[in-house]
Amino acid sequence: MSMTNRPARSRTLFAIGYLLLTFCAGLLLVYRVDHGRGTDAEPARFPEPARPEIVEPMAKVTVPPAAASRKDGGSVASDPFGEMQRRLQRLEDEMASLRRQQTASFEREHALILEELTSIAKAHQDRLNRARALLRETKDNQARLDADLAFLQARYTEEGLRVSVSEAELEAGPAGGVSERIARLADVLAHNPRLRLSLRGRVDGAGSASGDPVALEAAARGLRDRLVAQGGEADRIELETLGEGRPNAGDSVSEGRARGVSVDVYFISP
Amino acid sequence: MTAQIASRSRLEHFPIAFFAMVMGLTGLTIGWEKAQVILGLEWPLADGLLVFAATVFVLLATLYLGKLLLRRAAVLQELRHPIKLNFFPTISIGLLLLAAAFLDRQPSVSFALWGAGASLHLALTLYIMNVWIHREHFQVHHMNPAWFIPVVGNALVPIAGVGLGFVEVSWFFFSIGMLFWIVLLSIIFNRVLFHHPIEERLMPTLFILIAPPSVGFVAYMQLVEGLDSFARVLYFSALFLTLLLFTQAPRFLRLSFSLTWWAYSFPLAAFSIASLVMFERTGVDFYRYLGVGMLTLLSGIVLWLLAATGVAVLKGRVCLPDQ
Repeated sequence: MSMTNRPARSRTLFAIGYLLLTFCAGLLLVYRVDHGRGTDAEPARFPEPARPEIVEPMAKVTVPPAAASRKDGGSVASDPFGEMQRRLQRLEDEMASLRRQQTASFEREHALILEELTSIAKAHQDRLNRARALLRETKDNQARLDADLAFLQARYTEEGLRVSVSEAELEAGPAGGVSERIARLADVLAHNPRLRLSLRGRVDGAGSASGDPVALEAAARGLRDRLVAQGGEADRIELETLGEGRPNAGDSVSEGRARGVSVDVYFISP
Repeated sequence: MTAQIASRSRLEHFPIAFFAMVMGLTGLTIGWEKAQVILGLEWPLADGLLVFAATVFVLLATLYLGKLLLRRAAVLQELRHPIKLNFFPTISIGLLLLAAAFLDRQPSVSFALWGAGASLHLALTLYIMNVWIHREHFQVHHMNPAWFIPVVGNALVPIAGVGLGFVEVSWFFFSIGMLFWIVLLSIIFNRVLFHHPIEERLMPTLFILIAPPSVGFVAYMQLVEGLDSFARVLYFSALFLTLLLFTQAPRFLRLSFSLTWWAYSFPLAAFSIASLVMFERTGVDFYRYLGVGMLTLLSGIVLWLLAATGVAVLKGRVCLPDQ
């Protein structure tokens, strides 16, 4: 080793020593920080990895909790435990506030849902009551119709339900009014708005003077007039003339001859 | 009159490489800021360093602007120089690093610095790559680690860019940085292994090899949520390159001081910050000790560099024609 290399070598050794010293100063700094704090140091040392940014948008560059508290003016180094407790208290307050807000929101939602459900149930109950009333009315109507048909001695024939009104009933009723059967027939017509009637004059026996079609039609028209006078609607009552010689399906010929002209009333359902 | 002429002459030779000082000083600022947060220290060190780095940047920018106005030809000559050309992005990198340092203090200032830095850096990267592609007189010995400077700057953009909300732009720059890091790394090893040794005064620039993976790691941690395999590859590449270059320490220490020594500073700052980020992500104490140790080592180096630069300035050893 020459004398000229000695200063250069010394300088290199000095530089290496200087660099080692500065590096070790860093290690010592970390060691002192850790052990100077005692047990309180641990939470501040390791900021949680990949912590979501909750402080502010600009804190996207990872700023650990210690930095955030530093911005608030706190003193992490001097009282890290106290700072952590304050932060914990703030978080608990925020959570309690959130819970209160959630409860209030839930109660509001619950009241709204309850109100809506009550409204729906009430609507259903109304519809059910209406249906029940309708059913009851239909049953009542049916019972009344059955009673009326029994009273009118209605008969089922190939041409439909038929009620026969005799000449005597056509001519007069009690106290100069219409007979009770014609009044009942008008009543059936009134209680069943969709029902139509077809009136057909008929000769009870052969050789009768009333075999004239004009007379038969007059008898049917006479019945219609009586029904209209009792409140029946004229356009729901049709007139039909069959002519003479057609026997009454339900009566014997002798009875028909004895009774003369009668009118058959056919019920026409819609 | 003679002094005025001498002053103008020194301004003419005011080197663009001076801006590497800003890189080192701002890197040191960011490193200490992170270390203080991790250690829970309330020192005014980072704030003081930031003021100092910003002042140095303003001073250097003023001087170089003066050079641009008074000695335009000299600036153009540097722009055409195959090696000095690569130091121009140190200006934009300085802006980007200052933006990162200001991010939590003054977001609006940070945004302005970041916008200016990213735009300027993109323009310089495009210009330099055009020169690389179309210049005919490049030779292998022109290749040196300073070529990494434009590349490193791209990887720096996400550090403040993500915090400012420019995620896609950050990915764009990060991708450029990572792509050309691999390309240049292959070329530099080819040049180091098979051709003439790197010129002595450029030897410190070998430390720039540490910067791309270190900066890339820090930037990548801004861009993604977790510590994945790619992040680990970046960090451990940086760790290996740091170890490799520290084994060469005696060679570096024998060199005479020049402005290129500032090339030691920023890569070490980047590796120190990367280690502290690694600690944040893993909780492994080794990285905290390593990061803070590297930071104090860097602080010692920066003090040394400041003293040496001051002495060189006072003795008139900088701003000379051959630098």
